[in-house]
Amino acid sequence: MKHYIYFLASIFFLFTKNSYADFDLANTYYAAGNFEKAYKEYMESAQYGDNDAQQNIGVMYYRGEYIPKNKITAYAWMTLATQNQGYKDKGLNIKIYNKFTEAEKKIADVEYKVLLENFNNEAIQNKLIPNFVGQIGNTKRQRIIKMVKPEFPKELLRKRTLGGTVDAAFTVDKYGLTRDQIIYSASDPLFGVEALNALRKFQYEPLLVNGKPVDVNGVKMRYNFKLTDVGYSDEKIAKYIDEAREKASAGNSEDKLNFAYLLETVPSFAKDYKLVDNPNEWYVNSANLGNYSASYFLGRNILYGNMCTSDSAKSMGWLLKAAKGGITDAQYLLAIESFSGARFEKNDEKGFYWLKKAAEANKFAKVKYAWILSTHPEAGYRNGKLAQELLQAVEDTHTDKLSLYQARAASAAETGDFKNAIKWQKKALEDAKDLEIPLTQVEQQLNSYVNNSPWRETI
Amino acid sequence: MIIYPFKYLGAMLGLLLVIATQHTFCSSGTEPALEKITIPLSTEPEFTFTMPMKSRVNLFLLRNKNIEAKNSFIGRITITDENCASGHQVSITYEKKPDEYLTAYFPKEIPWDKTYKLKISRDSKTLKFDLNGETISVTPYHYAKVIHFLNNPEFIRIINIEQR
Repeated sequence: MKHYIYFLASIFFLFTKNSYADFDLANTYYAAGNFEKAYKEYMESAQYGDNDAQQNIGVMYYRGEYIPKNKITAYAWMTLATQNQGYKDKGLNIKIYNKFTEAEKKIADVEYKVLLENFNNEAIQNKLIPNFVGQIGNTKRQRIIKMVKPEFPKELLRKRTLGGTVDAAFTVDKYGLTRDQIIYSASDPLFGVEALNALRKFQYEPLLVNGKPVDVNGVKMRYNFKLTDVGYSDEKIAKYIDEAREKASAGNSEDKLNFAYLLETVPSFAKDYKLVDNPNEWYVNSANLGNYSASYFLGRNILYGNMCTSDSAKSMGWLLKAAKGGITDAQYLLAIESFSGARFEKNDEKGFYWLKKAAEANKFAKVKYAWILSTHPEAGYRNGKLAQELLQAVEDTHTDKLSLYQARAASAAETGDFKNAIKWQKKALEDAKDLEIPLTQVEQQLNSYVNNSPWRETI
Repeated sequence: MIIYPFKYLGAMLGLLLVIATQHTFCSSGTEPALEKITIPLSTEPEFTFTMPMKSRVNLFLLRNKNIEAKNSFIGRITITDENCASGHQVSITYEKKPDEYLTAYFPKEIPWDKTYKLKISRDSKTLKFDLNGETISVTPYHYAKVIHFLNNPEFIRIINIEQR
């Protein structure tokens, strides 16, 4: 009885840890008494090295929840969790062990040894290391079919600005259109405005996974604005990279992340420059020092096979780490992939879980969440009112206007307000015409609203 | 929201003003031009050549013979190993209207050991590219007068150029 109370206290403590996202999902299932789903979630996290999940697997074995009661296996999992000093200090595993007979102790030792071999923190880290390949690895990059050259801002011409750069990231949706465009670095805001205007007009060939068109998130692009050609120099880039590498080698996780990111941007402004280093190796170095941004970039690259072999299982490991670390881009990516089912197991429940998390701090995720809440084919998942509440927090200055207008229209239609649905969809159509992108999908949605019918769409 | 690493990007800005000449929409410009061949498109040229695996080359469509002249670029044929497991991908990029560039891809990869036969013909402003039995037709904004190889001999081996 004493142990039982102790375990309850332990569980309560774990449940209050907000930083563990996927672990939180398992906790939600557990609290609702859905031990089967809780066990599966804990087990997934445990196998990716989550010591808290390992501890709770142990508790479930101890109590016989979903799985048959087994104190020896419970001990093995709890001892595995003592890789985390907190669990070691509590010594729950030792208390269980001390009650075993000598024969039981021998079996418990073997079981723990097997678990440790497979799931010790170092082994898991090693299992997640991708298979590095060069820039020309056997992976399919998304092929561009329309590019628009941004204008050099007139005001900067007057100021005699010679040039500058803009770094952008975006999603390419299943139709090949750019979405979620974000300018995260611009040498002058006016360059950023022009780059964004151009980027919204880009079109790609839809990327197919097993014959199904899918979204590609987190595409990076660097724009170089210049008035004159001032001489390209491989030597200068090489020298700069050498210096940066030296700093990264001696530096902390952030230095390593910066170097990896620098390497990844080089091909966008010097396409023929032959990189010696693989950015993913440096992301690994940074992520293993606990940098969650590096975990996200690495997970993304492994998912899409960018300079490494595509591997969904490894990608999931890194993305979960990043998502648990609060990186909303990782949560967003996990959500989209969970809905799509092209690369990860299709699971709408998980998709909603991650999207809701991401939407707390990420406006692109908020718009996407509202869109899915308004258009999901299954009535049980739809919630037009919540979608409208979410969209109220997104300003009209949102960079991805097309997605915003479409989401506003869809949410209005879902609540039966077809007058507003038509108003917003007409704005979307106007925007699409300005961008000179294909109008079919936007027009079909408008027709649907004109006929008092909400739009339905699977991801 | 992710924290993007700005440190090097910011530091790179100054450097880029000096080193960046990549014509993102015009030419690669990074390989020295060891061999230059300019053929007028009025002659409907047919090129026969080979390329080794893991190599990349651009053939430029120009308004006049001088590639350095301002606004000379109309389009390019790119042969690249990107995305390819066993051959090259070939695409045509051209200016459809001012500052807007479209790219069309030949559906099939050209196997690395295969000889290329590329024939270019025109009907008014429309250019037709026949490559090993497949055809792409494009209508650039400007009238292309010449095709220009900026070729590194390591990359492309021209067997024959026929002009009619």
